[in-house]
Amino acid sequence: MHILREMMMLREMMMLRGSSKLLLPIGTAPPRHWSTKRHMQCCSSSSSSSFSSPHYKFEPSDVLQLAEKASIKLTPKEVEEFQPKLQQLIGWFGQLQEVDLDSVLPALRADNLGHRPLREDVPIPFKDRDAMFAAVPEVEGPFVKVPKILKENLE
Amino acid sequence: MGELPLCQRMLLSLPSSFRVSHSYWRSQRPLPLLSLHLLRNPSLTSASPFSLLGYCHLSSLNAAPGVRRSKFRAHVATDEVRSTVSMDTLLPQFEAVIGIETHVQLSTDTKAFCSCPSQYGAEPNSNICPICMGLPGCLPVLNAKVVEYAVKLGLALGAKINLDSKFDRKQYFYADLPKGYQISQFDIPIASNGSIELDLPVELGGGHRRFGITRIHMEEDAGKLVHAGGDRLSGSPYSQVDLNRAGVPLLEVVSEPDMRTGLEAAEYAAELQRLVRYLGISNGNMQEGSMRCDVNVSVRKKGDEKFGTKVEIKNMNSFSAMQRAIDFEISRQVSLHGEGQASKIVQETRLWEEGSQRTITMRLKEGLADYRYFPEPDLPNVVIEKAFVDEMCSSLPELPNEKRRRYEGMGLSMQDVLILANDYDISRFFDEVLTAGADLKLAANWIMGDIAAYLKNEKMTVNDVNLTPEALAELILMIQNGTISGKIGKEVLVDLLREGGSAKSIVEAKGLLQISDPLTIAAMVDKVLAENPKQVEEYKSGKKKLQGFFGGQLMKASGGKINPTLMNKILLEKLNGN
Repeated sequence: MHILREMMMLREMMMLRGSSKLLLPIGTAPPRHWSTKRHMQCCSSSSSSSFSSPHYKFEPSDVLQLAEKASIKLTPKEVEEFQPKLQQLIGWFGQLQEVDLDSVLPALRADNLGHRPLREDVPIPFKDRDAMFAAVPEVEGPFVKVPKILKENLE
Repeated sequence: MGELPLCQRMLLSLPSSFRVSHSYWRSQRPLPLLSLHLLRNPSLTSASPFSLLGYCHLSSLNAAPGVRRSKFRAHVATDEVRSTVSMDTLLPQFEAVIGIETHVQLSTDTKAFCSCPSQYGAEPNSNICPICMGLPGCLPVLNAKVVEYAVKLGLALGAKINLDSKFDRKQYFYADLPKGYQISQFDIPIASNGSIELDLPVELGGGHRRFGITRIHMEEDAGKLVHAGGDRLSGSPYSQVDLNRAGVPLLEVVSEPDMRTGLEAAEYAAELQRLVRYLGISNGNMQEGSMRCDVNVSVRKKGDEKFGTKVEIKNMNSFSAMQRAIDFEISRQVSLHGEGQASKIVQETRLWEEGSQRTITMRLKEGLADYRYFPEPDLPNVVIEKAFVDEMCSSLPELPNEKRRRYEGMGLSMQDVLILANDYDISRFFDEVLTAGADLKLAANWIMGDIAAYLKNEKMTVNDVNLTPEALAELILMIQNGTISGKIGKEVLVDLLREGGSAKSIVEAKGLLQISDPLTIAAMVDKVLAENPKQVEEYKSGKKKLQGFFGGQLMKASGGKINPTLMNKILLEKLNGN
């Protein structure tokens, strides 16, 4: 459970707005055409948080904000535990910012997908549908049963 | 409802497929401002139920057939009427600013990023796979048809096609979104900077409009939530999810805030629906949710440059509802201004309630929703060749606005133009009848009259009937040159609609050729006069209107085949001569 929570927090860390330099997938080296400029453009517009500075001091309130984004509840003790870990993460991303990118062309993303053709519009029903659906935690008739909806996230 | 003008009655008699935007809601009187004011202040309605002074009966809210009809009765004392009079003077001082986001569900055979079938109405959760279920470890692959349809709509809206666009992840937590994010396009949509042109209905003042289109982007739909334990969102103890719709391709079309009235907004949506139907990229059906409009409405004092606080309205499942919802919302906001409570207009999402004919708060928006967009790492950029765009461009059909301009140029009235160009199949049929040599006005009248009425009765579309355009053209010619009477023509038409074949063969097989030989007609007249000596005498002693009686007898005797003009001529000669 604890690992799951850490994963959720990490995921949210990576998605934080205004923290576009955190977008690099963990475990991959900076790709050839990495550009921070374009990323800034597409992920900008929030001024609520500015974790982008490597010297940013990560406060407990930031941990709570992050937990809220991940839709998880943390105990005060957990908040305490997370704070230095997240601070450390920011430090790592800070290191990435020291890479000299002046001679690198802007790119939208890591160009490691190669050429993939589009898919023909031909239906192929998924064969293991029943097995997959059997893994759904709770069902009601043909439906997936979920807890009461989260009103604040209603799209 | 009172007597409707002729044009509206005609529109009401059209088949359902034929009157996408020209029917129900135009037949409705606009909601009186007073009623809007009252709906917002229900306390007023109980002021004096028995008062006859300033009595006001509000019941002109007719929902579309099949939809629950809601009626409001409000009894208002004179004071309140006076206060609404000031509302009437207030309203013209304000201007509404309306922008619309429309989601168009594409009629592809498969979903956007997986090969699951995407048909509507399948058994819940039958068309699902690891990709649309959001299971880890799977890779989405874009459906080529989605790009094709997006480019087509972009071109049809005169937008700039971005040859290199990309997908992004839009994050939010919701039970109908298995992945926790929606694959959408954020900063580089596939098309941007277009416009749409439309003609407002003649009976509502007419006019040509052009509205800007900000952008068109590709994205995936979410699943469908079924709320167990009541239909109100808040009342459900838990929810049921059907993921058949998850991953179905959508195009989101965002307009500029160019519309100023509920009518303009509804017409914009109607034109967009017409466009996607002409292009064959979506059925545009609002009831099924294949086309969903979110409307942003704000009001400002006329002359002001700054926009007011905008309110988003959702949950409108017809153009009629859209117009009423927007007009209600404008009135609500203006009256808040009038009461000096403009600060009560807050940025929020409101739901249109069909039952009570008003908008209600759904949720408040505290600042911009934080979707934390970032580039979708699982999908490569969408790179389109210029040649592909050119190919799509040349494959576009004649678009609704082009068609309307052409019909107008041919000399049809705008009323007829709007009806004929409203439905792609009807307009195609009409064009083919003209190509087969039929007279313009006659062809238009037959299609808008008898054929439309038949289609409506039989709940069919023009594609379902056996009548060919050539047969209709032939029928029209036969009436024009007197081979058959118009009355027989109507009968032959029904046979043609049911059985098909050529007009000529039906006329010959049934012996329906018009009797136009003067000698034959004279003999028939003689016979009828001889059989009715009493009436002949009465006619001669001055009861001239008996001519109609003789005409009726002749029609009956000839089975409706007698040429009416010749018949009347010979009948009068015989009656007055002898």
